[in-house]
Amino acid sequence: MCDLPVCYLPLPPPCVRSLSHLDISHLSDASSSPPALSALHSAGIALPPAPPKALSALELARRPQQPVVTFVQPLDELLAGGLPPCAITEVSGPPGAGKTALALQCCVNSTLPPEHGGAGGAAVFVSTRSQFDAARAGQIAGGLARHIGVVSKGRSDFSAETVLSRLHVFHCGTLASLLSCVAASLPALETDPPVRLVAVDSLSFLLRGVPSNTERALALAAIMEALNKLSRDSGPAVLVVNDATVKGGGDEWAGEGGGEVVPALGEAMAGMVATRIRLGEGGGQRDAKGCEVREAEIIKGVMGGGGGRACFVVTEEGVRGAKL
Amino acid sequence: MPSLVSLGVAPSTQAKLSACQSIVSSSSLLSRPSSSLSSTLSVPAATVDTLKVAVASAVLEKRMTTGQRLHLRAVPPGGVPPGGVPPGGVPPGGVPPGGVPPGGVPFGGVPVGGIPPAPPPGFPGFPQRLPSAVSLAALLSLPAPPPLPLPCPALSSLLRSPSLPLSACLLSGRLLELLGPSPSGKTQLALSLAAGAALAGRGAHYLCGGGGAPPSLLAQRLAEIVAAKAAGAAGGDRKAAKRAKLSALSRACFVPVSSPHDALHYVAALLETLDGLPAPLPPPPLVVLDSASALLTPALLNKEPAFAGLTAMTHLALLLKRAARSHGVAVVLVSSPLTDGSAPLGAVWGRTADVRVRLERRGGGVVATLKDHKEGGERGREARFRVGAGGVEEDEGGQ
Repeated sequence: MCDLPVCYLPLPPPCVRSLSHLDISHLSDASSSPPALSALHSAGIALPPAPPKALSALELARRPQQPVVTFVQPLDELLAGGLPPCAITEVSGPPGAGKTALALQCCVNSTLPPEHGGAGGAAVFVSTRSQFDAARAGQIAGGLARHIGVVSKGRSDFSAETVLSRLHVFHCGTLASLLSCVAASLPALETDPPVRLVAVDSLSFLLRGVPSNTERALALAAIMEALNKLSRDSGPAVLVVNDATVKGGGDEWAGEGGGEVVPALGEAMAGMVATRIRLGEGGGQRDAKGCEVREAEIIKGVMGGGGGRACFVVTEEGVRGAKL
Repeated sequence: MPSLVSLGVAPSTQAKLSACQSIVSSSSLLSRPSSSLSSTLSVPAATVDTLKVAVASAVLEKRMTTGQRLHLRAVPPGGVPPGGVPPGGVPPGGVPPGGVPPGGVPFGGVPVGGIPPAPPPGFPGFPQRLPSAVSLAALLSLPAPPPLPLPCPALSSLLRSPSLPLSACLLSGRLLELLGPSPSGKTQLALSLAAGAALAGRGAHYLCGGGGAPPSLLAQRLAEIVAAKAAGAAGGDRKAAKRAKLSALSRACFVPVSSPHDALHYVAALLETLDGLPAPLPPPPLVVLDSASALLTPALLNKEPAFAGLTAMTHLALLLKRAARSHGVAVVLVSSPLTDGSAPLGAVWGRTADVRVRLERRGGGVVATLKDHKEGGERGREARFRVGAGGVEEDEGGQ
C-alpha cells in the first residue's frame, strides 16, 4: 500500500490541525503516533485506507439494465431503451410542453411488469408545486392498464389500482424540505417492489425564488449531489423537470426577438445530468387523431452519441408516440 | 536473473548491484533510501548517492527528450568480452566498431558517435562529472511505446507539432485537456480515446466524478464504441470482433470519484503500481478525468479548511504530470469553461495540460480548436469531426 501524504485524505479541519501540530505529513508517520492514530480514527479513516474501487468495464457492460420506458418508441430508441437507471435525466421545456405529463407517464411506466418490457417496480413523484394532480395520474394509470389488457388479451391482472398502489407522492414546498426529502427520506424509503424511478417536478420552481446567484448555485449543487448519490447507491432512474428560459433577448417562448429557448438553471445543471431532453412544439402538426404533435429533442445524451428528435402527443390516456 | 548495467561504476559495485535482485528498475533504485542500499550493497552511502544522481539525471534527460520510460537493462553476469558479441545476443544498437568495452554495454545500445571515454582515474569507478546531456540522450535510445491511436486523422493533424517526429505518439507522456460547454462531445471523445487505447492493448482508467453520466452508462457507451471499432477492424469476422471487444473491455475500468481526494488516492495507487512493475513493461495506460472542473470546483469553493481545495488540485496536477512524464501515461482531462468562456479552475490548473483543445457543436458536427500546445503546435488550428454510434468519426461531409 502506498505511503499517502495526509493531505490526500478527506480529513475534517480539526483532524488536519491535530496532525499538523503533531508534525505528521504521511500515513507512515501516523502509524507510530498514537495521538495521530486517534485523530484519524475519529475522522473515520481506517488504516490502511483503500483507494476508490475500479469497476471493470466488461462487468459493467454485462450487467442487465432496466431502463424506464417512456412509451414514445422513437424516444426510447434514442435513449437505448428508456430512461437509464442509476442516472439523472432532465426534461425541460416551456409551459404546456408536456413535462409533467411525461414525468407522470414515466412514473406509471416504471410499474410495468417485466414480462411487458417494464422495470416492474415502484415510483416516487416529488411535487414542488402547489398541488399534485391525482386525477391526472389516475387517468394515465388507467390508460396503461387498458393497454396491458389489450396486449395480454385480458389475461393480465395488472390494473390501475396496481399502478397507483406503487406510486408514492411527496410534496416539498420549500428548498429545505426538498433537500431533506432527497437526501434523507428517499434513501430510507423501503418499498416492495423497489423504487425504479424518482421524478422531481419541478426543480427550477423552487430555485427561482432564491435571490442570490451564489445561494442558488449552492442549493442546486446540494440537491443534485443528493440525487446523484440516491441514483448510484439505490439504482433508480431519476427524472428532473426543469423549466425553460430565453437566452439572448426576446420575451416569447417561441424565441421571438432573437432569443434562444434554453433549459433554466444554467450551464452548471448541464454538467450534473447524464441526459437532457428538451420538449417543444411540433411545428403545428397534428396526428391521425387530431392531437397536437410535440417534439422531444435529446440535447445531451451518452448512448449513440446523443442527439435526435422524436414526436409525441399527449392524450387522455397519457403520452404516446405520434402517428403521423 | 537480470542484473543492473553499470553507469561507469566500479566492477565490485557493479557485481553487487547485479546480485541485488530486488533492484530491477531505475525507479526502484531511486525510491530506496541510500542508507538501505548502502548496507545492502556494502558500499559507502556517498557512492550510492552519486549513482542515484547519475541515474536520476539520465532519467530526467530521457523524459525531456522523448517522454519515454527508462529501464536499466541486463548485462550477463560474466560481462561482455571485448570485441565480441556478449552472451545473450547482440546488444541493442549493435556492436560498436571497436568492440564491446570492458565496462559493459550501456543500456539502450551503443550511442551515436561511439562509446564515451572511460572515466578518468581518481574516483572509484565513477566519472568525475555527470554524463553530458548529449551523450545521455544518444545513450538512451529505447524503443518508443506503441502509439495510442486517435479516432480520426483530423485529430492527429490537430495535435501534431513541428518538434515531434511523425512517428511519435501524440498522447503518451502528455496531458490533453478537452474544454467545452455541455454538450460539445468531450465525453464522447474521451470515450473514443479510451476505446482506442483498450483495443491497442493499453489499460484505460476512466475516473468519473462531479455528476454527469454514471459508470454503468459510460461502460455501455464504451462497449458500443469498442464493438463498432472491433467490427470494423475484423472485417466481417464476427468471432474475432467479439474476442477483440471482450479483450478490450477487460482492459478498461471506471472509477467513481466523489472528491479530489478520491482522485488523488487512486492516481497515487496507480503510480505505485506502475513504479513496481518489472521489466518488460507493458504499454503505459490512458487515464481520463471526467470532469476535472466538476470534481474540483466544489473543493475550491469550500472555505474550510483554507486552501484545502487548492492544495488538493495542485497535488492532483503534480501526480498526473508525474504519471505522464515518468511512465508515459496518456492523460485526458475533461473540463467545462466558465459562463464567460474563460478556463475553469484558474491559472494553476490552466498550466497543467500540455495541449488544450476547445470543442463546440457546430453545423451537426464538432469543431475542435487548438487553444494551447506547449510543444509548438499551431494555436487556432481547427479540426472537425462528428459523433456517431461508433464514437468520434471523420466528418467527411462537414463544412
